[in-house]
Amino acid sequence: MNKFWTLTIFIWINSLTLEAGVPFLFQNSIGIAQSVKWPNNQIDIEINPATSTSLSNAEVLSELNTAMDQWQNIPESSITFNRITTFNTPTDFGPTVDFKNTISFVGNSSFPPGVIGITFVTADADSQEIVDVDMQFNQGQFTFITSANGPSDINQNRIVLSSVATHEFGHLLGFDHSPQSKQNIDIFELPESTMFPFFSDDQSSLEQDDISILAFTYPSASNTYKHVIEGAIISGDFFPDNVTGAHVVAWDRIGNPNVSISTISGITSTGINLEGRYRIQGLPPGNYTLYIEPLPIQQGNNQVTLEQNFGFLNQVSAGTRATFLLKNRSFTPEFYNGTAESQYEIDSGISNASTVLIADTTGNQIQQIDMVTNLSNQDLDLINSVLSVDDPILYANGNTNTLVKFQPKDIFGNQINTDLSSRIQFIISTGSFSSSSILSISTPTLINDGSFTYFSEIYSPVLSGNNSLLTANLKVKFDTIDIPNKQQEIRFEKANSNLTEILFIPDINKFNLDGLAQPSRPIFANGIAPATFQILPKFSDGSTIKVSLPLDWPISGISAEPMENTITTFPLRSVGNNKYQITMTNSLPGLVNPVFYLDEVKIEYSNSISFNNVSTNSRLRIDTDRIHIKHPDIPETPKAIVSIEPTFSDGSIIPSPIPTDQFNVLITRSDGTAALDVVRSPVIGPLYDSSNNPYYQLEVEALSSIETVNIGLEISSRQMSQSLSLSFDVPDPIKCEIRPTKQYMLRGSNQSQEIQIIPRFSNNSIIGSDLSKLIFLSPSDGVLSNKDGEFTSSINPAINPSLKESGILTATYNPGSVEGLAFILGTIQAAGFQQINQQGQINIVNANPNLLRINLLDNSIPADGTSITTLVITPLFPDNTPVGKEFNADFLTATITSGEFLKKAPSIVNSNEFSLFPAGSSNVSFFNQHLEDPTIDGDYELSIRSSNFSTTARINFFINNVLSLTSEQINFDLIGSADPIRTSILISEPIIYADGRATSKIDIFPKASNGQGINLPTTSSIIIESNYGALIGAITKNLDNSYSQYLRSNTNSVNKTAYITVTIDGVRMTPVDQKTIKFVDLNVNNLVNNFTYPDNNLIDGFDIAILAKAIRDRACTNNQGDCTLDFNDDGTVDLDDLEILKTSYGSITDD
Amino acid sequence: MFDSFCMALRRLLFIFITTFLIGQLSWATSMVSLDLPDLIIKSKMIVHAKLINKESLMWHGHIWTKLTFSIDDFLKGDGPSQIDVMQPGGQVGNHVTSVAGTLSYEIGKNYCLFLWSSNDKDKWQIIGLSQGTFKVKRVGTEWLIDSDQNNYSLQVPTILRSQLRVQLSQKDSRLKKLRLFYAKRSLENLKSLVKTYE
Repeated sequence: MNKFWTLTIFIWINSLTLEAGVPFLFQNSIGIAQSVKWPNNQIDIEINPATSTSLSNAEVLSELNTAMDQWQNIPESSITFNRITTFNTPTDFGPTVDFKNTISFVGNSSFPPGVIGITFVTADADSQEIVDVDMQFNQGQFTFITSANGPSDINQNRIVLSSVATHEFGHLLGFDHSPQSKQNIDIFELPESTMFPFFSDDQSSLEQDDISILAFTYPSASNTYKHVIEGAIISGDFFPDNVTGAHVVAWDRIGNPNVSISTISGITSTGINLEGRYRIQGLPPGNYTLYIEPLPIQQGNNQVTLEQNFGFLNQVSAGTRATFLLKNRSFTPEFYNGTAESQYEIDSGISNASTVLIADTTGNQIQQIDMVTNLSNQDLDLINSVLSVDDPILYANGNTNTLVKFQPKDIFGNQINTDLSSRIQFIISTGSFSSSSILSISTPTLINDGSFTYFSEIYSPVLSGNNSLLTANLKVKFDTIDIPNKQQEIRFEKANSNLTEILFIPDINKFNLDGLAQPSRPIFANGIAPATFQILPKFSDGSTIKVSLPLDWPISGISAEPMENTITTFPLRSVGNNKYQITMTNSLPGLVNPVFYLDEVKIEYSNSISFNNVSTNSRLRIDTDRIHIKHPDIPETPKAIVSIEPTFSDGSIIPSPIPTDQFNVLITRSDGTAALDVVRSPVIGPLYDSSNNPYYQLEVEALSSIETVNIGLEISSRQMSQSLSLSFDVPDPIKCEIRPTKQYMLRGSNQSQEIQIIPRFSNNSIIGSDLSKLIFLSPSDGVLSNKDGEFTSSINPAINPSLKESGILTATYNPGSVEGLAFILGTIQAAGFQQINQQGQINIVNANPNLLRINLLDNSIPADGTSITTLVITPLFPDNTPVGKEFNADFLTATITSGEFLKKAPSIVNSNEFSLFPAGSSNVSFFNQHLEDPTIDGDYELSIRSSNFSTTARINFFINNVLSLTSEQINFDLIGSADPIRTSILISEPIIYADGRATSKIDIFPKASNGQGINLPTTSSIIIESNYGALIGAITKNLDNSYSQYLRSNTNSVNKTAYITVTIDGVRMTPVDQKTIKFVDLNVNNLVNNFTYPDNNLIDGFDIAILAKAIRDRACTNNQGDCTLDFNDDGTVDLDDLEILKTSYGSITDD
Repeated sequence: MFDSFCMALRRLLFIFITTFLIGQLSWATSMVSLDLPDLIIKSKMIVHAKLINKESLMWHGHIWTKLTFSIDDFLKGDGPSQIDVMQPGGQVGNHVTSVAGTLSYEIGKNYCLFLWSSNDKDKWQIIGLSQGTFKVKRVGTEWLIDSDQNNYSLQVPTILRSQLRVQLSQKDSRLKKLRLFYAKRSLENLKSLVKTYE
């Protein structure tokens, strides 16, 4: 039984090689793993055929030649084997390899179980060149046979030597194993590489995977296998990394399925990398499909693993090896999908695999292809995805629709930027994803706007009858599995009976004007007035229904419960803005309960509406109760206007129009008989007042006789309780009035005024008709005129007035030359022509010199001989109204005692401009401002120029040389710059104690250059400065126009002299004597010690103190010491000396 | 007992080979690896050992690496507390020979080794080269065989998985031990399994 296991288990043992489908790496002396190769393309091989126990020498050589020819006969490669037969078996081994490449058979003792053969390939670490190869076959466990006696039988330990040797010669050339196994993909079978780790007789001939690495490593001159596809394998996991140890296959799937060349990510001919980079070399031109699968690769019971079947991980450090194995992630095998390559691809992606075209037959094209492994579904948690519906409520009419949108997001909330549409499904419990049929499952469409959102349309079902709500549940599936918490409720509804808004509008016309519905008002029950309802249909969430509802009865409309035959209804109609309007009328007064139907949904109105009759208390109004009788001299027959306001019993105005034939006006005389001779107009209306309330109107004309009639009214055959009285009358002269508009007028002037004539009835009401031809006017003096150009004169003493407005008449009056009262007399035709009782009276007067309004612009101007101010005089009537522009300015004169007048007159250069001219100071006439500005009425002007000295001038006024009792004064003040020399500066205390408390007052008297004191304007600046001490407070101005400030000493200013400077309006004052203040020390010790006396030429307290100090200090005793103060020369400074000093206190010293 | 077990496995493998390889239209790509029973049967000694030194040298005209292990436990066979294991490949001077199918052993690490030697018991080799090496690690008080996906000798053959479920239901002590080992790959369970082959 052991034999069974011995026979069934074998393994390739081989030494370090260069590269096959996978580059095989070798660590050089500095620790870098790189590929190695033979230094030249001709390799000597020494074969010892005699070591075989199962084959003859010729069989051994033949089998090995067959194997070598497989490699040597490839036209794209220049490799050749120089075959040397030997029968020497080395027994004495040196300290190093012998640099001979030998092939021999060895016995059982050399190999552990499971090893068919071993090829030792030794390379120089620095040159990366192969220097020695020894190939040994294990004939202790296996029997080697010729291919003619084949095939190999593993169970019998029979191995075809050429099959094994072909593989081993690949290693001899420096190629590692290839992970390319025989694989069935799609309809094709990928061939197994000769360098696949596990033995088979198929490996006795080379495949493209072997040829490519051979040609690329040992190229002939004609080699066309030069092309390269390289890139990196990236993990599509949520914590991405580069994938090492992935099997990468380039397969010419369509053009030549036998062409498949593979490698492993993380290794290239330049070494191991941990970035998952791969490099497939030696590609012939073709259209390549790229395919990746993870290692280890399970093939039946065999498993290709990185560590056990490849040698490169032995050539790196333990850390690099561990990292490489860590990055050897497992993933789902997949194909390269071009621009759609992503972590979110489905399955292997073979159906939409992209190809990489290498068309160049001569060059060495390099294609960069990165591939991303797919994310497994269990990691693709879409719980953070966004499901939304544009309109979660659809109108249930079978054709409204909305968009449902789904934006997949990964577990981190990131947008998934690939097309997942084939993996997503929308499921809806009712409604449909189709407009034409019931479709409850939808595969959504990708919105190609970069948002990677998917959408489908949902169509509503049809709800019939009074049913207004149907709820659907929308779900999203991914790969046929529900995505948790991704559900949405969609409601299919019709109008909600509770939330649909119904607005009752009794007066639709008024509502259209002011927007006020006033739903509490009744409707006129005449079968014509409409009760109007505006309806805004709404869904259950309160949102407005925006689809068009059916309008025809009985699907939609209005009814009443109970429905009476006096009620008429009208169809529903759309009024825009998703609103509808419907009306009903009723010819019978009473309450009605309306009911509405919207697309079969019944909606009851919450209130009853009231249809009412017209009230007998409806209101009548007349614009006047008295009009003039008809008269041929009155241009238009006098009329009264009657207004009617039909109302309901609650006093509210009936809003709906009432046909005018339903109004019956009854005019009767006082005896009750019908006044059929009274002319009246038809009733017109409705008219609308400012509040948009309707009313009706008619006109009643006057009769020619004086009498009173009564006006009554019936509406819709109902007698109104109110009636009106209208009188036809003539004026009452006693009540009539002639009214001047001005009380005074200037005698003999061309002034005029309007005279108003107001005709009145006996009840004092103004007669609104034009009575101008019934009135005659004449003045006692002056002239009256009317708008017709008529005027009074000695020939024509009276005229008719003209109509002004509303019966008020007017005429124009001009004064005459007689001073005193002028009268306007009038007659009016009443009961015959009669004198108008209230005559007009006007005072015709001359201008009065004592009635002047004086406006002197400035009461004071500089006495500089150039300053000017303006004087305006307005002569007044006794009622203080201006006499007016008609007054002759020459009659108004003035005199000024100083300075002179300037008078405005047209400019000599331009008569349209006015200039001032000197006019003297006595008896100067004024200038009428009206000449310059016609809007100024009654103002007269003179200008005043100042004298050049200070004085007060008096102004006297005269009219017609009569002195006015009113006069005016103006001051000409000397105001100017302070003269630097003449301005006085006085110091009250020129010497003060330096104690920080003593002060000295500084007074400044500004004077002009002529020495006259001046009053500086408030805008003047006065600055006082001192180099010592402190100026206290602000400078104050005194009543005599002088300025003052105090200087206070400082304790640190002992023996200092403060120089006082004054600057006025920027000019420094320079008095003849320099103004100073000395600061002296009150400390006598200091004075004595410093021998510094406050020599102010005055015997004062200082001197007393100094002497007292000297006495206390015994400064002079018996002529010893400082005896300066020994006044009595007694040899001692003592109290006697003090007495002497005291007697001299206050005296001025000599020096 | 051992023979009957091997017969059972061979019968199962025959069924697998017949069904699978006919489907693959290729005989030679099957059954190329050594599985665990093979390793146990073909080894002369199985040890739990720590690598304490490695050294490259010329041996029989080629470069080999001598791996010196300190033995912690013998799971099969017996011997000195320290042994040398020869592995083809290594570096002598500026010349380097490397052999695919060998592992890179790290000094200080523990391994479970399935060893073979011809007559020279001073020069042990590992069965199937890397196939006869299991990396082990200590977890708590136990030594567990590392679940290394790169060691296919540890993989339960596909054909065995389904068949073993049937077989393991029987009261065969070796199959029960095998089941216990695949349930928990500790050296104790392996040692217990190995004893069933003695």
